[in-house]
Amino acid sequence: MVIYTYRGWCITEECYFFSESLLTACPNSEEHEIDVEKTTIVETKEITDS
Amino acid sequence: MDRVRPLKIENTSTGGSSNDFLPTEVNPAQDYLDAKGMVFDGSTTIYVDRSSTELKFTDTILGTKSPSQLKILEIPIFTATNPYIDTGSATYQLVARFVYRGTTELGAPRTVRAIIQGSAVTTQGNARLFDVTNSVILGTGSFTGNTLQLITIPTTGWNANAAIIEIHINQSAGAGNTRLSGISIQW
Repeated sequence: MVIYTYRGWCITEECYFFSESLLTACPNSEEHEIDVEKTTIVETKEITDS
Repeated sequence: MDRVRPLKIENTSTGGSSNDFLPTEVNPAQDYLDAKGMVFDGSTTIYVDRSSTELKFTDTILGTKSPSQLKILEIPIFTATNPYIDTGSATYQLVARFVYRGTTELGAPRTVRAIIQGSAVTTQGNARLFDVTNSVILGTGSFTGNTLQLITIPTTGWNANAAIIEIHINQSAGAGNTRLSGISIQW
């Protein structure tokens, strides 16, 4: 299984945030808009099932 | 090549080593011409001049550059097993970072190119530069196909001050992965 770490840009808060899923809004508030164009995968982890 | 020696009047009061009472020809083994700059072929677009504490070279290709701005930065991208880093993700993936010292010191790069290919004939993808310090997408270049190609990434918005720049790639359509082997930046 592959786990991605996404880095997004919150337009409202003017800061980056990180998550392990693609978000459509900033983590702090659903009303805070993100810049989808700037979302980037910054880390890829492969997890071996045991 | 029709080489000539201009006449000069040398004087110890203005930096010379002797006093000429009549114009004599410049001695190429000894004399320095003292001037603000030099224009070539009467051109107003091709010349060399002194600006503050450094020389500036101006022509119609480079624009105006100091020697410290005439650089090429080649960034190889590879892993232990492949001469590239690849992705099949439509979301851009971080591949590498480098430090940019800012337009105040370096000027904006003239050309940015990516050495890139797909793993399948139908692979389509992009490479882009992202100023992570200022959260600015500097530019994106696209490719299609499975042949190694040198694509141009048109860029704007380089910051005046130092910033960390990231190289991103994605796979936007078709089959296979986008494979990035390098970035070439020329000032």
